[in-house]
Amino acid sequence: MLNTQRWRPVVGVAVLTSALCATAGFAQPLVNPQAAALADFSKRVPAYFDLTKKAAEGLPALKRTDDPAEISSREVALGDAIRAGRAGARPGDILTRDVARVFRKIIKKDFRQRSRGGQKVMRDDIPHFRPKVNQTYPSAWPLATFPATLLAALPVLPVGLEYRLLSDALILRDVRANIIVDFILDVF
Amino acid sequence: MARSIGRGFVALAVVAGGWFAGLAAQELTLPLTPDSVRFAVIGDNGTGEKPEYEVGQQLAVYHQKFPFSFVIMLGDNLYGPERPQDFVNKFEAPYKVLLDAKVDFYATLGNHDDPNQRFYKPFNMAGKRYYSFRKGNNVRFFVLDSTYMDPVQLAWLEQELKSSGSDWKIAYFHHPLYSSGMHGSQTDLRLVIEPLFLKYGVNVVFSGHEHFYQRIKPQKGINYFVSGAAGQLRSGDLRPSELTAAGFDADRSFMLVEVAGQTLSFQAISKTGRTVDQGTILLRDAVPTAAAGVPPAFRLRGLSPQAVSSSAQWRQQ
Repeated sequence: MLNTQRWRPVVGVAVLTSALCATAGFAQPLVNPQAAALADFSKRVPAYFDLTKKAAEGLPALKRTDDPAEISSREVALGDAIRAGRAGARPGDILTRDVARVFRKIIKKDFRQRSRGGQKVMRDDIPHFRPKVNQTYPSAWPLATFPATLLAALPVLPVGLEYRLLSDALILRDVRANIIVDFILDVF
Repeated sequence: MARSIGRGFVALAVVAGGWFAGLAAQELTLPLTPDSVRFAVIGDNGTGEKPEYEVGQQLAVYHQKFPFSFVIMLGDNLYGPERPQDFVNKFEAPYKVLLDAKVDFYATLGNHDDPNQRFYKPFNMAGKRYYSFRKGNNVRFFVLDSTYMDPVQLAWLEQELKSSGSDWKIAYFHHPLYSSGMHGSQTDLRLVIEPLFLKYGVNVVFSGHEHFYQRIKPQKGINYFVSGAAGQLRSGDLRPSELTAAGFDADRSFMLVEVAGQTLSFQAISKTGRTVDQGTILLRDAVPTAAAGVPPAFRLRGLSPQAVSSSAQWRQQ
């Protein structure tokens, strides 16, 4: 379920930036590139959810069950439906180049500020594979723990999507379908 | 050292630690108080390999002597693939005796777990990545997803702790805030959740991730246990430090815990049924000092020669 309230601050920053530029009377309105990128991100995520909602039409709802086969078959079916629904998806569709620039800056800064021990913990058990859009997250790899303080510095994602770190990438992962939705390379 | 405390905080003191040379295998040290809350603790269990089954058998043996009604799982419930047969081989079969006896399991997510495990009824996660539940009149458990501690979960945790109403507040999650193992203390996680534990008086914390047993000396009045060797084992990985109150890394292990009124009793047991640590934690109404000035009578046992060789400073008592 998408919680639109969480996106309001991000959108608000962008709107406020635009308004300030307008009232200042600039012919070329000044735009805070970071806020604009995040505002754009905040629109692309709901659009992805709309797509997945359509893709899930006809699939049984994921509910609590004693039968693990139901869980895995629902996960696989949803993944297949999403893949079919965005067959033409490319890296950067959601994590655009501008969003990537902002996120890289945040992650690199966070990483640099950590002690050597902190950096070790952050990269502990981190998976080493090259991500692809629409790829099923390989079960052979753990889901590397996402540092809580870094998580607090990134936009909160709606339930069903999460950030994860790979050896040199940030991925956007659909938890319900266990697929990689988008990714950014060179984040450390 | 006294510390300021939040509303509802209760004092804790470890009043006994483990030195059990006289204990035979399968000997129970827990008091079996009538109407107590009794549970077992397993972590990093879901390998589907022989040692996990052996721990499962040992749990069944102890269940006869200590009829616990539930088991808390500290994460890495299923390593590797999570096909339907993996739920059988890595969970249902090793703990069949307990499941048949209607023992409930309450799981938390580890870094090897697909979050969709939350929909698997026998894990009792109510479809949620983090949740809380109460046992008895006065014990509440807070089950967290330490792999993804986002601001939403933190806000939920604060609300749950604030409205808990239970004197015993027990938190459990996969990654240890304090540890002397290969992974070490999860300081990033500690930064965001320890303040809440202190503010709202969490008494005891269980974690896994490190593949051994370790009892941490109380930190800011909170008792921490690492119990991540119910399936996996990293023998010789426990590097005793100033954090270490007791530890065991020579074999797989699990814990039994009993909460009765103001007392929590624990017993850590190896795969072969040997008791490797035990003790009691008291819940007090008074403002505590650190460990209430009662030094735990601990002594580490079962450590591998490699670990023992570096252990002079902590085997000091």
